[in-house]
Amino acid sequence: MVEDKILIWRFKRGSRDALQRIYEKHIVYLVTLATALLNDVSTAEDIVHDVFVSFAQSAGKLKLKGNLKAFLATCVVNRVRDRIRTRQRQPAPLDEANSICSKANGPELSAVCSEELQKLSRAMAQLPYEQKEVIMLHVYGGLMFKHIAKSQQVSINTVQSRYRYALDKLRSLLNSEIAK
Amino acid sequence: MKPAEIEELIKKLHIEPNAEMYGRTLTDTLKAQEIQKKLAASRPNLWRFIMESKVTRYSAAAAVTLAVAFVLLGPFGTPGNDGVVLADVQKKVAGIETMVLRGTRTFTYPGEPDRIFEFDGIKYKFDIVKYHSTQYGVVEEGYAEGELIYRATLNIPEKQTLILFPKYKKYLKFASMDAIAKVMEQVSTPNGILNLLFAGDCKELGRDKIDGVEVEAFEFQDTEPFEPIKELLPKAIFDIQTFRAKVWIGIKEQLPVRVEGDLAIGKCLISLFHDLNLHEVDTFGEYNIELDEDIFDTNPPEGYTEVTLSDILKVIPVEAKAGLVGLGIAPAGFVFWRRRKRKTAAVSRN
Repeated sequence: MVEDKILIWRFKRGSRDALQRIYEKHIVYLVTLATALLNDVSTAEDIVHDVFVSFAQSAGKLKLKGNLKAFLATCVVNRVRDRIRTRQRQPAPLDEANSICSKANGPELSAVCSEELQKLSRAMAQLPYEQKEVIMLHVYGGLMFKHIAKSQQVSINTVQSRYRYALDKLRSLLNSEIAK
Repeated sequence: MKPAEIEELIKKLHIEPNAEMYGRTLTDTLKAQEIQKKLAASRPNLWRFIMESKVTRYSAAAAVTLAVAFVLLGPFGTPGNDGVVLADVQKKVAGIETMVLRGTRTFTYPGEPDRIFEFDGIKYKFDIVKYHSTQYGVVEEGYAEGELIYRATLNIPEKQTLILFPKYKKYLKFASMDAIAKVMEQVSTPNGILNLLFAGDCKELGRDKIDGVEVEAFEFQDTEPFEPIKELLPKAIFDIQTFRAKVWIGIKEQLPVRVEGDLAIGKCLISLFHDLNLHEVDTFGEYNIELDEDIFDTNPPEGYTEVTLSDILKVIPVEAKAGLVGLGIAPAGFVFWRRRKRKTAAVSRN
């Protein structure tokens, strides 16, 4: 947290090193988040690319009140939503969806994806987008429900319900996979 | 599978971007930053705006003088370690409503620590008393040989600054511009100072005892904490060449006990175009005491008149005058006209 504060302070004053450090620190997290939301690694990478480029351009006007990780996550989520909206479609349905792990375009990914994670990614692909967003932001991103509610412009109760439904669905999907 | 297990599994998700994407995005991001920096540099800057008006020029110069004083006098915080915990220091400092600091500030010539800078008969070795209130602002009094040389008041709610020079019965009063007020607030509030110092490099110097209080000492050696001030004014006005500060924090109290600061200042308006070293030592002790609102009053006392440009030109050396002309603070014609006027008067007397 303090490191991020210093990095932001330096970044706002034009430090190249600070920007590079921010990039190195958050790139994996953001690519994972975007991929989990879209089930599409290459689109996710495009989005993360655009988020970092516009972040770099925002140095002069950046007013960051919360933490940097949450801010970047919100930027990614906003762009994912835009992408989904402009394409007028939901992320790929189950039968077409490539799981996060199987879509990996490098040996790095397959190495880190255990069988369990592959099952999870297949199960995640079946969640409605809003539920997936809540579960990823809360569990993976560490954002509080009230922040997610603000970002999704819904009540905190709605966010909590989406979270419960998502967990229930994941549990039933994963347990049925295990039963197979 | 239980919900907690699912959550744990989600936390393990990890997708490495491919090398091509990683490199391309980083390159494009850094390129975007460079373009942004160039664009920002081509826009009219705050400094140009300040220099366009006489009032703001004075305000800026005075504000920076005060800012230096406030930074050096403020209660510092440091990164955490076994004895002094950053979070505790931060919490304690954030809880300070008022404080009174006492210390000394000495201006000397570089390489001659015993040769004190002297100007207009005043030795620049000041005993300092500073009153700080998060609600009302900051007052600093500077005494030389027991005589009050200046009293500077920054009233935060009124956004007014008043500097009194009792020896000359003169005052300088100006409304703090928003940008300046913001910088002042940053460097004059305990939390603002903490944030500034976090940006500097810190070295742990170990434990010690000051007046029976067990302390832990830290050293900051970086000019970076002054970047916001330097951004506001160029080197010609205020040229901090090096900055070093030592801070002693009470282990039990988790509050600053003593601070020592050293600044090397290049030839600039603030140092009246001399290369000078500034050394300051301050001791802390009076926190959260009652301070009367009246001491932050920014109305000039009776019998005082406002400082004018001709007052400044009368007392500063020729070199400094040339510097002022160079900076655009004093018009060349005005300086030379005054010199010609004095010459004419001398000729007519003869």
